[in-house]
Amino acid sequence: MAPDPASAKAGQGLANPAKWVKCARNERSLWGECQGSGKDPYRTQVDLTGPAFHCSCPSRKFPCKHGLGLLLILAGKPAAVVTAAPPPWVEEWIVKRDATAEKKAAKVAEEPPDDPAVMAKRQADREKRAVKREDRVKEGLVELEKWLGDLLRRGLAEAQQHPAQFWDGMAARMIDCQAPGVARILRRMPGLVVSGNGWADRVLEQLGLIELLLEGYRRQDTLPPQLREDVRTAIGWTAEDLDSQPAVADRWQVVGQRVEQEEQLRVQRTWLIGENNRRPALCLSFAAGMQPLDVTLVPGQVLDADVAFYSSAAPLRAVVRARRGEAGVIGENAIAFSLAEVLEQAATAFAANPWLERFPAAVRECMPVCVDDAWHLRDQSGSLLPMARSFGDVWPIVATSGGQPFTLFGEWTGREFHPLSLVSEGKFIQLESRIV
Amino acid sequence: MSSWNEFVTAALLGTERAKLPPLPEELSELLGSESKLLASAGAIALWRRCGWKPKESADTLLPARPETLPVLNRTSAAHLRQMLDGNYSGVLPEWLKAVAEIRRRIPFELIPALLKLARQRRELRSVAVAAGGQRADWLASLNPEWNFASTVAEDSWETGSRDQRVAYLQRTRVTTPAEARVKIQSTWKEEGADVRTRFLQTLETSLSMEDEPFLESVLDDRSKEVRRAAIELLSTLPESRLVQRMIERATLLVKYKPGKLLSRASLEVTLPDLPDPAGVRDGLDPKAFGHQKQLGEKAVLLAQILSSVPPVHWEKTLSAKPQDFLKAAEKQEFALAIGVGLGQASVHFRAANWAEALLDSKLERGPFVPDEMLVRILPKEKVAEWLLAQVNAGVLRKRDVSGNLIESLTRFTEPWPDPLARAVIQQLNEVIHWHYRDTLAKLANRIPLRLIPEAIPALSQEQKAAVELAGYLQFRHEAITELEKQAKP
Repeated sequence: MAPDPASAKAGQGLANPAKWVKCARNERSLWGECQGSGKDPYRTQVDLTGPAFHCSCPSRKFPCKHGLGLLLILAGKPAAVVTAAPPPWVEEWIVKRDATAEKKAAKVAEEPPDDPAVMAKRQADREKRAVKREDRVKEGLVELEKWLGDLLRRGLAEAQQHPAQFWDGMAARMIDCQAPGVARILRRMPGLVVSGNGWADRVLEQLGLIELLLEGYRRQDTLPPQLREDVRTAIGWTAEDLDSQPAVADRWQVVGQRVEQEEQLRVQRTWLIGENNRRPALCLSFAAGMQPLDVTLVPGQVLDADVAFYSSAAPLRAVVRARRGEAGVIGENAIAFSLAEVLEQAATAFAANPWLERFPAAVRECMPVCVDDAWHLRDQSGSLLPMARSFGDVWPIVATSGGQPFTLFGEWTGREFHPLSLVSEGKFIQLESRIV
Repeated sequence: MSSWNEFVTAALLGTERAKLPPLPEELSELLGSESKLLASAGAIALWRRCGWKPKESADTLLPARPETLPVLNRTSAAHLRQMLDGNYSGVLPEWLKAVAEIRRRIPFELIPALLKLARQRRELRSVAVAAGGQRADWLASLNPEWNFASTVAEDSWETGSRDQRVAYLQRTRVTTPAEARVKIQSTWKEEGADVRTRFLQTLETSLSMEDEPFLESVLDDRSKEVRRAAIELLSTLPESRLVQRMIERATLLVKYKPGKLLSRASLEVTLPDLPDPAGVRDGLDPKAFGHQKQLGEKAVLLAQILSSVPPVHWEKTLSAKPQDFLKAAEKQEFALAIGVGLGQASVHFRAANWAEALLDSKLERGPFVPDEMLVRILPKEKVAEWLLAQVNAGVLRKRDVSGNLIESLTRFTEPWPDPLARAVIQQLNEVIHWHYRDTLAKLANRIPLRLIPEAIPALSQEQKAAVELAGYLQFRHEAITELEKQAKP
């Protein structure tokens, strides 16, 4: 939950009741006063329903180390936290939070009927912007097509000689013309070009994907609406119109989470699987610089919630809407599939949306094995899934397995498997993440 | 149908040079005549991605043996995670030992990180293996880097690196000393001098007269370094032929009469001649250790001879009481050489009564046999007494000499007795800023657990190092107490 390892460490340091002048809780919130470097102690509070944090310290990190420390005390030494009536400064904050939440809800519920003239103007502006963007994208993609044509005429062997700027330049151009999705694919290329054996395979595959995207965009009017949505999302339009999508109610297992740095942005992928509908969902959270990522979806939890999916030929990306009751925990109830089932699901999804980069794989009764000097996932039938080369330390997985099959969850790209969490002896364990 | 590889080749060459391979029928229908290389590639890549077939393998992992011990609770697991992340990791040896004592094991997923750390920190190895249960042993059999944790590392003698072979010998010496010696002898002629020396040094563990014939033969080794290692070992075996020869030499040099009612004990010491070839073979060397400048060449020989004579010899053959003997030696012309020789002999043969007498006596030992060296062979209570006296005398506050005292304090293998701990706690604030965090952590590890609540308030809130040390003590207290709670059925 910590924004970075340093905060996690500092939070650990503060997870000591002795560092706190006071620390107490009631059903709703947790608060404490911590003597920092300032004159007055910092007042730290946590809304346990979120969790949401507030602290009077000057830290720009969020949540700050004080909030983390307080939560760690509650988790590690609940005896040190007395139950009490909240002091005014806590009460005020909670009331304010509730008020804001109500206001938001009220606003959504009954959007005040604005002046029709203003509404019309807004709508017109929006449309004008949309048309302008459409033109810029179209222009940019034409340029890209020519560039790709040149590239392919001369051959990839020659393209290999180009410096990274060759690809990055075109990526920057795609950002300019508001097609950031294409830019993301292009930015991967310099890495792939130097990725050693089979580089041409990987480069051609990605260029092929771009070409399909161009093709799809040219023919978007003839495509089914959902695939059209996928093409536009892959190019870089933000999916809209989520409100009209029906929400899916279920008990959702939060099976894994991964944060990756993309340029200036941190991207957090949280994977959910419905307990009854057995359907996967992906919740994204983006943060620039020190901005916080979403902390409300904690791996290992089971949420009774409504989840709304973005329109797609292979619906995956989603948003958690309403949550009900206390969260449960994943254990023996973990949803998992045979390896053959997972590959089948993934193939269906990739076929429906060719620009899907990864698919959640929850594999039951598998174990890590080392074949030809590389770690694989092996299921009971003997089928092997290669583990991602970029995945750091496979040993905690091996240690937990002990040569016995268990349930492993991760991301499947169609080439390699990146483990994220596992369930062993009824216990959910999150992997790799050094951030608590 | 053309294969993906043909497309990759065409793409590498470029469409200027290569002909576009024909598309598979199913796809060419879809793409129509205007299809290009790229679109084909995209389509086939997708095709391949969706139709990806896993390889198969019959390999599995041999299952680990079932665990016999229950796992630690979550709080203790969190403590371990913190220590493995580098916070308070000085508590690890004590904590791991306690885990084994309460008959629990650490969670599986944390074993690799612990083994990785134990690979660097030798002192953690045996306790890490014990706390890791069956799974640690099993993991070690899969990763050669962790073979120190494996009970089945027989081949490390045949194929291991020098360090691995030494580690193998050290392990074997504990259980079957003779086997280790036979192993050393089996390759003795092929090893270089430095390897021979390291191997010989492993015999220190479980050294006995059974090793003596081999060691005696090593006195003819061509390397001086190897011979020295053998002499060091033989000098601690009272029955060894080397020690017997030294006793013979010493008997000629030392004349002692115990005191009677009215007369004091008398001692007469003659300096030896320069060594004959037999003496040289036994390591006698007037320039040994570079002591000759302070002592004189012949006095060095005297010290060397005395250092290989068990002090109990003087008690038995000359009815010498340690105090009287030392008192008589004080006035000798070569008092320093006698002090050094007797001091080293006390250490060699672990003669605690002589060590104690030497500490009390005025007989000089120069810088060659410091008090700390003698203290080490005293019984625990005596060591604690001596340490307490040193601390109370303010030695900790004397910056330049406190290093030795701190080493003695941290070498003390058990928690300090309360009076000693209280004395150190009282002075911690004053000495804290002189020392590295690691040194302070080592001191903090020796404070008995139940005194920690006393120690923390005694530490200054003003100094950063003191606040840190308080945090360290607090953590140690919590982590170990949490383990003790789990010991109760």
